[in-house]
Amino acid sequence: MLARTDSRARALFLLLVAAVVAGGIGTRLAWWQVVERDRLAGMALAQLDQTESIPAARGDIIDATGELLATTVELQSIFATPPSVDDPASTAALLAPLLGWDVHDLQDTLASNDAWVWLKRRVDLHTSDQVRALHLPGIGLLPETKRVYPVQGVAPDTTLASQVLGFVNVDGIGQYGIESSDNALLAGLPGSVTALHDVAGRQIADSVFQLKAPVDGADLKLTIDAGLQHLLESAMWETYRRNYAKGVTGVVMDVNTGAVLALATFPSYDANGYAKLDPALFTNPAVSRQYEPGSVMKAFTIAAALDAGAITTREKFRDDNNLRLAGVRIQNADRYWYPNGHGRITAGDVLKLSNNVGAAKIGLTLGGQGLYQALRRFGFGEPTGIEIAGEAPGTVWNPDGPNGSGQLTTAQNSFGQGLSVTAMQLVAGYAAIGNGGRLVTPHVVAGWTTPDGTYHPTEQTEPERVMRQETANTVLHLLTDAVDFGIAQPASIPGYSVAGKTGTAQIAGPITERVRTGTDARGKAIFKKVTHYGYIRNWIDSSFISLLPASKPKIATLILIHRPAVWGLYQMAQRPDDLFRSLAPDILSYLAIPPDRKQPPDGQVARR
Amino acid sequence: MTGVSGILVALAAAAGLAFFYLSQSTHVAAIGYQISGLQAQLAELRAEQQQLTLQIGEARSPAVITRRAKRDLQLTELPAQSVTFAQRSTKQP
Repeated sequence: MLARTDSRARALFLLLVAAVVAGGIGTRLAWWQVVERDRLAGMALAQLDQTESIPAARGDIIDATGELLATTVELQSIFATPPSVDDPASTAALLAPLLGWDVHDLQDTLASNDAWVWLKRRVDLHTSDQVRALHLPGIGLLPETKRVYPVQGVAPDTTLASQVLGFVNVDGIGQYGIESSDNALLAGLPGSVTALHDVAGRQIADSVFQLKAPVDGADLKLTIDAGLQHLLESAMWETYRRNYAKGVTGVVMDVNTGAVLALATFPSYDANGYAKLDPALFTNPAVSRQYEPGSVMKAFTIAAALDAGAITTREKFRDDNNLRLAGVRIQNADRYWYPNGHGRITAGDVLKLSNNVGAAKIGLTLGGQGLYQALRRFGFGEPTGIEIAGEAPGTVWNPDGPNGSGQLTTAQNSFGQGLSVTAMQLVAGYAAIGNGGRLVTPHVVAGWTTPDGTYHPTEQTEPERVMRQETANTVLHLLTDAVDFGIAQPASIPGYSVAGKTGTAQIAGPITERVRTGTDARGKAIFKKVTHYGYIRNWIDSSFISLLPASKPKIATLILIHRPAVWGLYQMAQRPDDLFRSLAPDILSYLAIPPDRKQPPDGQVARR
Repeated sequence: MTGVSGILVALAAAAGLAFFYLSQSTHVAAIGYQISGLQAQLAELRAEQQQLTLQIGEARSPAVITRRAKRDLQLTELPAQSVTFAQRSTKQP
């Protein structure tokens, strides 16, 4: 039996104990609530509030008529958290056929110790719906965007104008083409939101601390017309195959504005599946490939000489098919038929005959600096400024500079050798001849529409006058005669006047040869491989450039065939001028450009 | 008695206000979840709309139209020379 105790003392003791405990708790609470308040409140908030990025919607790309060329879609990506997968075997059996996995590989992945793994990214809607409907533990879906290019190209496994458009990589950054050069405009600016989230990760209503709204990207409208692009791609793809060419380029440009209406290049690619392809396919050769253009440059030599008053159209130059400069003999392409040249010829004859010696003599009459300055003025040696990424400047050497060879450089440049240009520079230069002497800036972006619906047309710089109008008109007339009466006659089209020029240029590169260096002790010849730089046999760039209709040009076209299979004296399956003759009527018809000549009887040329 | 009843009324009023606050904040949270659900639905519909836009773009491809016209409808291309341009009359009406 327990002994009696003093109830007052016991009560006092209990009170003291309670007071100590309460005091301890109170002190601890005060510590948390007062001293540690800010830190603990911060920690609590940090567990609840999250800052999320709000991606900006990338703008679409449409053609000149409003057809969709590039857009962004939201797709679901499938992921797994293997520790949460209940039954890897049955899950793998259900998912593998949907995601294109091997069942055993998927089962191994789902049974692994990985915390989180992608199973397939950016699957189509049908597949994501099927996966979602399975309600599999440990399998989830996350939305991701994908850039898509809906318009099929002409060639198998290509999309229309892919080397103009470029593509967007997995990080959402534009690569090559317009997607790269106008990435900032298309991509917009992402925003962010900071708000409280519940345990399920859902944002709690009315808990937003900070909101930075995203700015969506602008929609780009191109000058490219998908219908015309299809027409040009069809023709270029056909000639690419027929000629077994290394590459082809076709351009149609408005001579008055510089708007590129169609730009077709092969080999091309499918921008929806770029990841598996050779990156060499991604650059656009019309702006990035520099090459020796050959005879198409003769028009610029004559324009420069006429503009400077160095020659007249009546002045004659002696062509004896034998011009020697710095130990180099300059000859004509038709030397086998005319070994002694054509005698006294005019500037017009130079274009009609595509005469090298005559062109060289005109260039030399103008003078090295005169020709060099004129070529630079016509836009050669610097990028045109077109909005396609990767544009090359081309090279024009100053004949009196460290890389020049004086008169030899001038003579060679006069007929398009010893310098390099891009296809786009050439078309822009010819457009200047066609529009009265103004150098327009080639462009493919007509304008853009901001998310508020405002359309901003691309502002073009005022075209610079690079030759007198009289000079441009004279050269245009000479180029028309070159098609009507010269070697470019296969390019003539019934009902239309055509100003144009053919060009065939050899391609230079490293050549490895076996050279005899002596004999050994037994008298046997010793050879070694020597590599030097020179023109490679049967490697050529063949082109035809035109202004249509010649009476009042509206468009400039270029057809360039790079390294076609050739035989004999540059015979090929389909010459650029032949292709032009079949293609140009379709282009003119598509653009509703009416004939400017009466339809001639077969085999005759109708005059204006 | 007056003092006690006053306290009781004040307590009842405070309890009522607290209950009202709790019910309203719960309601706001519930509405918030509804909004989240609707936003998800909107996103799904947008994704479907994007897919439809994409399909329209694909169907309008010149290559697809040309192929269908030739293969399914047995149409052939007219030569460009068959196009006739109407002459604009120079006479005043």
